[in-house]
Amino acid sequence: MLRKLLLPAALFLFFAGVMAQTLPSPAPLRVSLLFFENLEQYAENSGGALVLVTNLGRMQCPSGQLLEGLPFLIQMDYAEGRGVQMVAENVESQAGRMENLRMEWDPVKQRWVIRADGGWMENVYAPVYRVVLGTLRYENLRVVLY
Amino acid sequence: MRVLPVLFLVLLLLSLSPVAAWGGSGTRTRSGVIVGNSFTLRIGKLTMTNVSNLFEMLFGTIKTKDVTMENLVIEVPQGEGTLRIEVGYVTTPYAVMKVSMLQVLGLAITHLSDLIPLLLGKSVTWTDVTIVANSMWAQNLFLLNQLMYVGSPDSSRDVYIEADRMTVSSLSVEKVVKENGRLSFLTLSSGMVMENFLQKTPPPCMCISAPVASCPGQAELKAVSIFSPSVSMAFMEITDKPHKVRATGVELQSPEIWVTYLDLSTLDLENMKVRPC
Repeated sequence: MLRKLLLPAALFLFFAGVMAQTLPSPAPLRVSLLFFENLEQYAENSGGALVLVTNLGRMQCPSGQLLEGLPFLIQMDYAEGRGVQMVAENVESQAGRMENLRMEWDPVKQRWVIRADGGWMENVYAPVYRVVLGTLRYENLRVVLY
Repeated sequence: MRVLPVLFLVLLLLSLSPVAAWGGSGTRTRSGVIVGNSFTLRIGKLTMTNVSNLFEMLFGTIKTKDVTMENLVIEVPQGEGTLRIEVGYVTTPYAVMKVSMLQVLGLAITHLSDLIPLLLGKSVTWTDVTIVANSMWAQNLFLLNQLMYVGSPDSSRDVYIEADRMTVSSLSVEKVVKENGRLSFLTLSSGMVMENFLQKTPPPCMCISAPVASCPGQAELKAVSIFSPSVSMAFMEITDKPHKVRATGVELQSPEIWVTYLDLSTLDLENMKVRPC
């Protein structure tokens, strides 16, 4: 019974953070390998803080990844998502490649934007405020409440 | 026998009006903007040894060795503006310049007392020299305090890039472009590697940093200015019209670059950090 309640409870807590107007405490996100398409990255003011927004048209994580934050831990062996938006304090990666990388001024949104058609990043670490996934396909999802 | 060409040149020079000879191949307006197909070098102090023969010189080819230049300013008319290159100090073991015959004669007249040492292959030093050239190239250059620019950078609009060291296999400044009322120079490069690279956008500021960033393919950037306190180049040329500045084997120490646009075919990053700043 308790195990059946774990997933809805974790998702409720996670999306409560997503919907919140003010920024929650960032939760560390770690991905060992991330392939992406149509990356867009920019800085913006959100909830009184300057955050880094990363939009990915498509992402694929072929090996284990982890979203860890009190009081939950979400782990998947494989994940594939579309329409991904990640709002983070910063993003770090041990190694990576960006293909057709542009740094350009967006005249509509009046800000500088990094755009890349594709690429990959290894050992990604990001303290995330929120993650929004248009669609998510996963294998071996594990959600643990502390 | 070596005196005969000198005598020939002296007689030729004496038969020309100095004013006409000084005119060069370019035409200059009152504001100093170069009109025509030539670029200008202004050199505070030039030391060189001429290694071209009289025939080559009369047809506008000046070959020099052991060249040092202080306070060099090169103005290259390109596309919609003029690219300016300022260098505090330059050395090159070998350089070749193509100028008009009139320019050769103008230089000879202005430095008449150095004519014989020049033709005999002795080192000469000139100050406040202006040369209007059609093309030039040089090998193994070493430059101190090099600034290449078309305007002043605007920290509220331009992206700033710095690195401890930047190496580029080949680089070409294609043309000066004007977009949204701002001038920038279109630069294509390949085989670029940067150490301790930092890139910063105007507010809302975003910083990208990496101990090593490399772009093995082509990089296109529209730059407002590029400064480096120390630069070396295996080869550098300014081509005949349309003038393009090309260089190979380029190494810039502590470069500071302001760009309005950046497009990299691929960028490999190690220990990358992206953060608002």
